[in-house]
Amino acid sequence: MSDLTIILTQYLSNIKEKLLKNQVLDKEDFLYLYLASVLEEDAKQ
Amino acid sequence: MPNNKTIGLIQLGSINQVLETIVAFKGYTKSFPDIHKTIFLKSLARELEPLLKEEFEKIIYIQELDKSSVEKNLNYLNEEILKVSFSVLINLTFSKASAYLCSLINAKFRLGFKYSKTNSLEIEDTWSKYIYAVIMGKNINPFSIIDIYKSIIGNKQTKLQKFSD
Repeated sequence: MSDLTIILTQYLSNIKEKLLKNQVLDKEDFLYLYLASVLEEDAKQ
Repeated sequence: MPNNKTIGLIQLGSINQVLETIVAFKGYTKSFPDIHKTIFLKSLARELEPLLKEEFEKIIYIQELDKSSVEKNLNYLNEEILKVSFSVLINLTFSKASAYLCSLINAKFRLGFKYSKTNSLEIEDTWSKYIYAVIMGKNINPFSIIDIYKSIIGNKQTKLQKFSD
């Protein structure tokens, strides 16, 4: 598993926690979500 | 007084979709000569650069992910992509990544797929809703996709026609 995947997985669980607490996401969260979605699309190709 | 209205366009689709976008923008400059247009593309669209330069004042190619480091990717995004801002940002790609990018880039007004601050997918304009509901994953669209793109971007030279007309 690459460094990118490990860090993104960790960060995504922080985002999940935030959402479960009904908190809004900030710009940094969206940056990680964007990277995760690109990684997901790359994996599908 | 200088007109500083800017349009940003996200098109991270295939070469075919980039070509359709270029065609949809034909005549746009005639209708709105003072608007500065920027397009965000994947690097695979570089081969269409001569055509793109005819319609867009600025072309930004989104770099591929550097899988070795998160920081390199974040630095790239912060320094190259997120420094720009637009009066209107239009997302013509219907993917998760493009929707997140649309939410990230600074803009006063956004059209197309985007995410809200609670991470739910939002589509406000009618034609993007139509694409999401009728075209994606199905094959029942009676309109030309170029005409739909024209309607989304507000190209006044639009006349939606069914293929059978």
